[in-house]
Amino acid sequence: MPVERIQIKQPCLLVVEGKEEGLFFEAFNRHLGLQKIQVLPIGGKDRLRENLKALVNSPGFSGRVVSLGIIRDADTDPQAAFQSVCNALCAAGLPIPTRPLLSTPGDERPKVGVMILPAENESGMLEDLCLRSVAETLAMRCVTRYFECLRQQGLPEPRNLSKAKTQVFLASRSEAGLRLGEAAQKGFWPWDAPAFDPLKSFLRQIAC
Amino acid sequence: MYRSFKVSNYRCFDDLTIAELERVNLIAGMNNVGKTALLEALFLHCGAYNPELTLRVDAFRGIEIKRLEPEPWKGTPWDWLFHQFDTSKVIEMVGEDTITGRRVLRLEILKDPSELKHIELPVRGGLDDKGILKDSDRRYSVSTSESVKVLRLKYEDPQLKKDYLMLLDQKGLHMSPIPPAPPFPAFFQGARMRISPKEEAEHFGRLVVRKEQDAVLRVLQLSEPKLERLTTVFVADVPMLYGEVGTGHLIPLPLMGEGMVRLADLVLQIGNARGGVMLVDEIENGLHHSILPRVWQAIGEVARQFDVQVFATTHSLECIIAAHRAFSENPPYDFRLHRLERVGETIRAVTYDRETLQAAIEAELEVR
Repeated sequence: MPVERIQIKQPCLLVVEGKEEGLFFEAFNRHLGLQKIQVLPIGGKDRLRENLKALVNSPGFSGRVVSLGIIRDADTDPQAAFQSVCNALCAAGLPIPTRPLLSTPGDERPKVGVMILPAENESGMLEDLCLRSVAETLAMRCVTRYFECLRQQGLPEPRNLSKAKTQVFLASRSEAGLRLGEAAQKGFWPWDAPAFDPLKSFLRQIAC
Repeated sequence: MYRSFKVSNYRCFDDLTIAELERVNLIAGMNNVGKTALLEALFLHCGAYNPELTLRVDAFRGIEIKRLEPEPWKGTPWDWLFHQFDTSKVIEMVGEDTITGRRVLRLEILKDPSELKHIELPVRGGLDDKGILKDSDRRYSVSTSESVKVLRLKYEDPQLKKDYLMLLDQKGLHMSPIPPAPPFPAFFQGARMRISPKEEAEHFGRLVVRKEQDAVLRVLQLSEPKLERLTTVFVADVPMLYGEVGTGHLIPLPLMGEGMVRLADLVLQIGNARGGVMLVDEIENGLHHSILPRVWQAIGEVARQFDVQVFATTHSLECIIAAHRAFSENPPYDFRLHRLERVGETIRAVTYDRETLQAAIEAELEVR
């Protein structure tokens, strides 16, 4: 059954991987006052190529969109992640930046920028960046000890340690059971932490 | 079958190209973006040599009556066809099709006295009650001092290059030369139009003669599974289609609902347009969303069976999704979605191939 469709409403678009990332970046943009950035949770790795082509075809893309940012996780290989985004941009007929964090020249429309998380040339994901932002907190010390304890007990390590640590950290907040994006909406990530500085500057670059 | 179509200076289009045309083409877009105008342009192009069709296209929008005013201080009957009513420009329609190749139609209003004085037309007073041309042997010369309005249709394909004129003066409308039959049939089903019961019966009769009437029955059974057969019944000398739905009585088709009539008209016209084109405005009208996937499957099947190319417009997302699923699940995927959209002052066409439409539907992106 058809649901309400995503419509292009802003001149600056930010493509992120999924719904949680969407909630996270909406909250971050709101904090930064970047209201003209519309976050689109359509950038899942497996569908990015097709979805970018569909986005370019969307009503209002031509003529309205002046800037497009794409954020995805590096996972195990940041270079491969960046190349994969460039391939998808090429298939969609969009300008291709020469490196992460550096947008295409302003005379090309739309201007396109790519950021690979958690940081340039690092493997990992958004969760790693969030954990870095809270690394000095008391709660995070407890989280580290918790996983050390599990290891000492000979229990197997979670398959995705960053996601597991994020969940445990969020369990320490005043409202339990929140996922990464929901926690962002509640203001549980310290937006002013230095770990978020490169992300801030990328988002400001994308904002019109 | 059209592969691409380009139209310039027609209605809301200054210059529109629509490519990657398939067997079945669905046209979406906001209001007033030219969906119906595109169907009209295709209809005129299908008619090829017949300038009289320019007076018929308004009827597809419900403007049945048109005042033809030859007085020089009044506009021409064709002014509305021109982009921004600029009759100094030439309407151009270029179609690339798989049979003839490139066919070009140009429509222009002749105003230059030097061109008008060379026009000599046979008078055509129209058809009398018996369908015989009245006054067809007289000839008529145009003088620049007279009040005449002339539309020139310039036709061009790889084998033929010829002009056809339509003239309006105090005596009425005249055409020269009388245009031949179009290269292939084309039908236009307007959003709020239906064909007359007599025409329905005639279409059905032609399918019966060719033993192809089962195609209609099969499609109508999508909407009314109890329908066992269709037949023609004369009521007050007028033939009408009746259906048998197991009640012991035959029921007139219109009593089975608007959707049945809409479907019947659609498949009757496709069945009678072999090798041609079917144009349908707002195809979802009268059809419940639950039968749309089967309707599209049936349209695909009959369009292939009768070698007809279909162009339909819609506002409905359900209709688009149903079409995509129907063609995905019942290969070949000979379907394209095209959206018309305004970018600045111009209108452009955006075409979705199968992969892109699938992605847009799954990502919940707007496609209309």
